[in-house]
Amino acid sequence: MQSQKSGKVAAPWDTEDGMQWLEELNPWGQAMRLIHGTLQLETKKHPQEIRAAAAMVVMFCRENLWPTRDEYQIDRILETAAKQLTTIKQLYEIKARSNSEMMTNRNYRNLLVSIDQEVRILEARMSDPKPPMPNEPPASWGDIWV
Amino acid sequence: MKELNDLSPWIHPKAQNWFYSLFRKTNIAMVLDDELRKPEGAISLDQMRMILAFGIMLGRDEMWPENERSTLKAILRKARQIAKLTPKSKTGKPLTIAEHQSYNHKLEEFKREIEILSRRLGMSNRQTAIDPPVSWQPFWE
Repeated sequence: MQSQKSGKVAAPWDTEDGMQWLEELNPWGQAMRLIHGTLQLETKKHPQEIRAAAAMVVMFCRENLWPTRDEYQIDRILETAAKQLTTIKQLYEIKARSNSEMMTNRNYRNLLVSIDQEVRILEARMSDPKPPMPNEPPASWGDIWV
Repeated sequence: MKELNDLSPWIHPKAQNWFYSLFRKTNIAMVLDDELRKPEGAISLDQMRMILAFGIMLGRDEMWPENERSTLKAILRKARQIAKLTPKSKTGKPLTIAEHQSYNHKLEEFKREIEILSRRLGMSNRQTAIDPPVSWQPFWE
């Protein structure tokens, strides 16, 4: 809100009307419950679904955009998403140890870098401790504006 | 190795199914459609920017179900309409010079946001690239 007063344009979710509209958006709470439920799934069986849900957390779990403002709840979802992504990355690493082709694949290495970046973004959003936010977007996300 | 060719979180068929199921279970596209049907003046520019933000973040083929894509076009149509409206203050009084300046800054940002979705949907007429929205950057922070 402060940025609006000083002449800078606020992000859509940081405006008073934008926030109020989101608060009244019923499906948003339901979407959050689905994301939360997916993040509890078994990583070995559902890595793709969990990574999709974690991507939603990366996109939407930020101040004024996530349905709750409870710091504890926000930290929990960030922590769960980061933990599950870390496990998925370990699963990929284990798989690659028995597959030399995978080890040397540039896309595979890019995937590991991307998951690391996704984890760092999630951790940097947590209230405490707060490691620095990465300087770059996740490697596999491409140009978000395209 | 085929599954490693594209590694964004939404590209795998199972991830796509998850996103489609998210839309199906929440009816979010239907709710947005209802919002967009509200009469002129009922959606403020800031509310429209928020609706548009949903379109930008989720408006990819792998996330937004094909049978609901008319909603993305409706978002774009409504955003373009709102961008053309004459600004009014909430009190009904004429805007001050400062309010006009603030509105114009916001409108420029809104147009950048509209352009992203326009390009995504293949509905942009611009010949040159436009800068990404300033207020979103960096988007991952």
